[in-house]
Amino acid sequence: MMPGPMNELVEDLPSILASSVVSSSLEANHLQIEVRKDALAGMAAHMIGHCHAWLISEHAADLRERDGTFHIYVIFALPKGDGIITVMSKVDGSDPSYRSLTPDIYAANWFEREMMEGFGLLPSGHPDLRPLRLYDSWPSGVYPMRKDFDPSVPVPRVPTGYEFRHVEGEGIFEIPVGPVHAGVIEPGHFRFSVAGEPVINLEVRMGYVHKGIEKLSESLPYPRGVMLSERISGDNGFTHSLAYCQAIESIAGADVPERARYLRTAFSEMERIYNHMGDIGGIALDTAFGVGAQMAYVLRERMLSLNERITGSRFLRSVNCIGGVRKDIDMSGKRSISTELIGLKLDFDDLVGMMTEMPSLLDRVETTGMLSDDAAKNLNVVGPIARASGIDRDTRRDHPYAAYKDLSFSVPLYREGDVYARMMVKIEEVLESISLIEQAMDRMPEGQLCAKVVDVQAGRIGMSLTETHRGEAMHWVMSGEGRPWRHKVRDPSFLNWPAIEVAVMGNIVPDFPVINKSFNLSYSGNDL
Amino acid sequence: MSKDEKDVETLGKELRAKTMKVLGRSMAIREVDAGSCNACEVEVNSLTSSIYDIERFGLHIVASPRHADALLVTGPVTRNMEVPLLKTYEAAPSPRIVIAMGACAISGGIFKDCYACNEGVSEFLPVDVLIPGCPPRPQAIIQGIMVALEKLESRKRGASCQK
Amino acid sequence: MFKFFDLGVRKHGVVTTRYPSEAFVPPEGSLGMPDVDGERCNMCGRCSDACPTGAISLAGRKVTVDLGLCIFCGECARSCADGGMFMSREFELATRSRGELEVEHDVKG
Repeated sequence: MMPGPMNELVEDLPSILASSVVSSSLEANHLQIEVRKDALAGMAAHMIGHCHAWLISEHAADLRERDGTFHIYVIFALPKGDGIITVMSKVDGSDPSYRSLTPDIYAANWFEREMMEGFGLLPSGHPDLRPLRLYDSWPSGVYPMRKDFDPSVPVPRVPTGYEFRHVEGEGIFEIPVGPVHAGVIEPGHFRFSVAGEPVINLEVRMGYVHKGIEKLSESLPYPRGVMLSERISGDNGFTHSLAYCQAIESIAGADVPERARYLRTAFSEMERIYNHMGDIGGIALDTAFGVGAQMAYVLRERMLSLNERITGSRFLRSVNCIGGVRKDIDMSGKRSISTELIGLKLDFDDLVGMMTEMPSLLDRVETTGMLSDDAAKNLNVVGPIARASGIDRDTRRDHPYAAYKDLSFSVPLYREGDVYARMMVKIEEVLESISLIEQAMDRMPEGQLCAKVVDVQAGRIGMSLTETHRGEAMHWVMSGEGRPWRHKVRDPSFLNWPAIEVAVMGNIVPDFPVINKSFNLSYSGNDL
Repeated sequence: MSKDEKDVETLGKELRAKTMKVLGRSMAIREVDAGSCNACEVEVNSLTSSIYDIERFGLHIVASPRHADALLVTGPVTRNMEVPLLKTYEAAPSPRIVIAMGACAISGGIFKDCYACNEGVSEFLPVDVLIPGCPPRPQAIIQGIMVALEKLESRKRGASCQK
Repeated sequence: MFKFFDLGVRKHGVVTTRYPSEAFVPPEGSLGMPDVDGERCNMCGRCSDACPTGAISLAGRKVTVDLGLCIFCGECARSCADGGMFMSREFELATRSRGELEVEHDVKG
C-alpha cells in the first residue's frame, strides 16, 4: 500500500528507459509497466540494480489470436512494503526473439529456457540454450505452450542429444546419479565432476517429472484447476491450491469470509509443520542419527493423522475451494488440535535438544553445503534456504495473505548458509507455526466458510503469492472463458535448484544427500 | 470394513508367514517414481518410519533394482521417465512383480490428458497389483503388498508345475 | 545412550501400529472409496458430471465407479443431493487386475 513511492518509481526512471515506456498503471500495490521489447532487459536490470527488487517470475503468454504478439511478463517484488511490479513487453509473433535478461540477472536463466521450449521465444545473448525439460526425444519446432499446439495429438519421438557440462583435467572423473535414486525420492539427474573426494562441479538436470500441468490447466474449468493445483507438488498441495484460489478470487474481486482466511492460515501452517518434521528427520537420517530421524518421523505421522482427523485428508486435499474453504474446525476439532500441538511441542523440544547437542550430527552439518549470502542474492533463492543465508524475506510477512496480517510471528534468520543454519531455520519455523495455529484458533471469528464466486471475467490477470514450506510460490492466471487462458505456476524449487549446484561446490560427495535434504526441493513442482 | 474382523486379526501373522514362505525370508521392494506429485513418496517414506515399520514383516525398501523382488511404481509415467522405468524393470531379476501405486500409476489419474504423460504403468510393463488412492494411505500400501505376495505365491506354484 | 532410550521407548512406549494384525478404521470424515447407496440414488448423473477424472459412469440401473481413475477428492459426494453417492472409509482396495477396480453398484430406487 504505497502509491507514492511506486509512482515515483516510474517518474524516476532514467530518460533512456522512460522514453521506452508504452504505458504504466497502478492498481492498489501492483504497478504495471509496458515497455518496448528492446528496453525489457534494461528495465529489468534497473529494477534489480536500482530498486533492489527481487525477481519473482518471468514468463510468457501466447496472445497471437488477439494482437498477434507474445506477451512477456517479468514480475518483481519490492524489498520493502507489499509492492509488486510487472514489466510487460510484446514480442511480435513473426519475430519471436528478445534480448535476454540472463546476462544481467542470473536468476532469469531457467525462466528464459522454459519460455524458449514452451513458446519458441528466443532470448538473444543467453549463455546456455539447452532445453530444460523437453530433451531426449522432443522434436524441434514443437512448442507445447503455444495456443495452436493440440495436447491430444501425440508428439512424435525423434532422437536428440543433450550435452552436459564437462570438466576436464588430470584425475577428474564424473559420477552420474539418477534419475532413479537410492532413496525414495523423485527422479532427477545429478552429474558430479570430482577430483578425488571434493565436488568441483555439479550439474542438475531436471525435467523427468515434466507432465505438462500448465497446459492441462488451460483446459480445466476453475474448480477443477484447484484439484490440479493440489497435485502440482503433493506435499505442499494446500499452499499451491491456496495460491491458485487467491489468484482467481483476485480476478473475480471476491471477498473471502474472515473465518475462511483464518482456517486457510491454520491449514497452511499444519502443512508446514509436517513437512519441516520430514526435513528435520531427513537431515538426522542422512547424518546417521537414526533415533532422531525416527522421532521426527513419528511427529510427522502424528501431524498427518491430525490433518486427516480435521479435514478427512492426510495431505489437506479437497479443502480449498474458490472463495474460501470447505472444511470447518469446530470446537472438538480445536480441542484436538491444541492437545496434539501441546504434545507435539514437548516431544519436538526433546528432539531439538537431542539434535543440537549431538556432536556427531553437528560435525556433519556445520559448514556443510555453504551458500553465501552473495550467491543466495544473485540466485534469487527463496524460503528457508534464503533465510538461512541472511536474506530476510517471508511472503507471509512481506505480502500478507489469508489472516497473516492479523497474527504475530517472527521470521527466523541465520547468516551461516550451511546445513546447520537451514536446519535451525526449519526448527524455529515449526515453533512459529505452532504459535500461529494457536493464535488463528483463538481469534477465528464465526461466519461463513465460502463466498460465492460466480463471475470470473475473461481477459484479466490475477496473481497470488503464498509461502509454502519451501518458500514463495506464485500462481499467475490470465483468465479465459471459464478456464485459464494461461496459468503460470512458479514453485519455490524452480528458483532454488540452481543454488544447490553452488552449495555443494567443494563439499565431498557423501555430504550431497544431507545438503540435498536440507534444501528439500520439489522435483514435481519444478518440472510441472 | 469389508473383511470380517476375525479375518483381519490373523492377517499380520499371515503376512509374515507368507513372506517367509514365498520369498524365503524377506521381500525387497524398489520404489520408482515415474512422474508422481510426490505425495505417494511421502506415504512410502512413512512405511519405513517406526509407526508403520514394514521391516517387521521382512519387507525392505531397497536402494537398487538389482536385488528387488518387486517394483513399486508411482506416477503416470512421463515421457522422460519411460526409458529409466524400463531400464529399472530390466535390471530387476525375475520373477519380478510390478505394483502400480496411486491413481496416476494405474490410469494416469488427473494427469491422463497431459501432453507429456502416459496413461499409467500398464502401457509399458505388465502390472501385477494395483493400489488405488490419491495417494493410498500407508495401510493401503501394506495391504497392496500382501496382495502382491499372493500373486507371487501363485506364480511360483505355476512355475513349479511347469517343471 | 540411555537418554535416547528414555526419550524414545520409555516415554512413548510402542508407537508402531498393529495393522494389519488388527483392523484399522480411518477417522470419521476421511476420504475413502466412493460408495453408492442403491436405495437413495436416483441416477441423476450429477456425480459423473462432477468427477474430475471421469471415473463414474451410469448405464441402465447401474452406477460404475472406476477406482483406478478415482482421485478420492469427494467431488461426487458433494454434488449428490440425495445421499446416494457418499465417501466411505474403505481403503483396502488393492487388487490384482484392472477390471476388479471397476466397481458396479446396483440402483434400486
